[in-house]
Amino acid sequence: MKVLEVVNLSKTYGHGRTAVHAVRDVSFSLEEGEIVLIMGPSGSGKTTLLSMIGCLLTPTSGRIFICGEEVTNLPQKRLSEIRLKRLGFVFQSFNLLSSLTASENVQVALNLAGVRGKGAKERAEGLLRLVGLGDRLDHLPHELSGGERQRVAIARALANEPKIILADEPTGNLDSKTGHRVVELLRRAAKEGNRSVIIASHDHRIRDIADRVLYLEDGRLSKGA
Amino acid sequence: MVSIARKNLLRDKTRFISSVLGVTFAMSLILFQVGMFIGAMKRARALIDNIEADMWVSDERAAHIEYSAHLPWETLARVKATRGVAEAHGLILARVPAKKGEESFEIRIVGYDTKTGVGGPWKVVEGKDTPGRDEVILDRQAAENNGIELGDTIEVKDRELRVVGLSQETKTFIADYAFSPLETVKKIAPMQDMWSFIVVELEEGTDPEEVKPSIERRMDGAKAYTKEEFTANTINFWVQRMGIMVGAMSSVAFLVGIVVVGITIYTATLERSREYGILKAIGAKNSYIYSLVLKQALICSLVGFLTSAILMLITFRFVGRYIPIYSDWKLFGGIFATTCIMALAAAILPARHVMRIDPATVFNYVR
Repeated sequence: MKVLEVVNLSKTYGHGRTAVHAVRDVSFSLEEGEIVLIMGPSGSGKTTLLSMIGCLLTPTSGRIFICGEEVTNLPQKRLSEIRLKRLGFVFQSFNLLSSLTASENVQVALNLAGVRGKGAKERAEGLLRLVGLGDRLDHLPHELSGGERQRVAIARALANEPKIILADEPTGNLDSKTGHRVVELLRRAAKEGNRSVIIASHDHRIRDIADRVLYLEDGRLSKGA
Repeated sequence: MVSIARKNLLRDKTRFISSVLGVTFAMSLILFQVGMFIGAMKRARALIDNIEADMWVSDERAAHIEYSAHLPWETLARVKATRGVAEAHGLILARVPAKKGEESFEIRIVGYDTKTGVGGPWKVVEGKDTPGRDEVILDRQAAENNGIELGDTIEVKDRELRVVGLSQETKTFIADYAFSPLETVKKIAPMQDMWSFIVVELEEGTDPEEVKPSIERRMDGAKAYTKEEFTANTINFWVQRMGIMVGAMSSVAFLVGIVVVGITIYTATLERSREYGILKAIGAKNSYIYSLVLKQALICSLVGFLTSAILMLITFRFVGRYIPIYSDWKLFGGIFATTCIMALAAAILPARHVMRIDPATVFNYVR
């Protein structure tokens, strides 16, 4: 079953002679439980593509379908709901809230989806135990290592049981061993939770866990979709 | 629910405390001034409120109770003889210096007919309810402040008056009320055989507007007011005297509060722009983000308000001995509402900033 379909997607920044075509006519789809790795050099359009799929950036043209619903022209309020309930985000720089503990960072995502109180706390702690952070629940981000922070981010991304996880350079700030552990967690999230994962990365080691690799160059998919 | 607003604020304790102190200062200033202003007005009208009269007659130069001019002695009889008047009573009000030993203080002595009791003290808390010849009922706080006890004598214009009663709710902003029989006050007042005011009870069903011209026609230089007019004139006197200053200073304090809270929240918002972007990226709606900013402004403002309320309750206990201060829950309720409005206003600029944060920027951010 297709959870994502991208059709002739393009994004152009600026106009006329100063126009930059970040993504050009990209089409692909994603099956349930599939892990797709998007590779390409810096400036190839990976992040722009991920931002559009993540409903954070409006495409110049083309269409995106998430779980069968076209999201290209939806109002911001609906896009927020889709980001909250159908998508999970993992960023290169972890992007945790600095004043909240590991557990609270995960609880925030649940709170936004209407899960509150003890239920949110228990679920957040369960997820953190799942990613191996059962002994770091009450630590603030600055008290955690890079790998631990990224695992908190993965737990947060999984909080609302999204259909798709979008990971932008998830190993970019991590050493090789920690990076491997993070990638393994993403693989487990996909295969055990039947979720689809899109990873944008330079990291060739991730290829081992990907079901499919897409190459992006100058905004175009250069191989297989 | 995780309280991001509270945690964000408490992360930088120095800034939070500075902001709370700023609000405390602003709100204390407003509470004190407004409390003093309302206190002054309420006590100024207390004598009018506590005399059951339909009309007040005074010299045309004295449109309110704070300025008493003089009506000739025969005015009372003429007022009584006016058609529609059921009863009339003369009052003598005089601000005079009083002495107890070496201590001197000013009182506003009311000379009234002790047989009718009209114009007498309305809340005697100790001693006799009605003073006799050369006796006086003093405001209790004024007595305490000057070391006067029941049975002591005070010197008023070379006359010895024995303190036989103590009253409450008789402290005013200018001078505290004291009550003595007419025959005693006549000898103390600066003008002999002159009334300060005549209070009038009308016959049932009589329209005061019909009686007013009759009184004014009969007595040259006299002016009649309904009780409501006389009260309004007294309040206007205080509004003109203190209201503008209190209004201006309270407005400045209100603006200071907005600026202090606004700057605190705006700075905290700028510093955490990326984190607001993260929240938007993971699905937070603008309304949620705005509520976070508003909560921070409310926390700063309300902690500041509570601190100022406690401070002012303590201050009022001491200052209330010397000036009338109004410290009813309504005052605190009103200032609480003002604080909430201040927090709302302070949140506008930071809220505009967070609304404009583009959640897409979180993808590119590398620490």
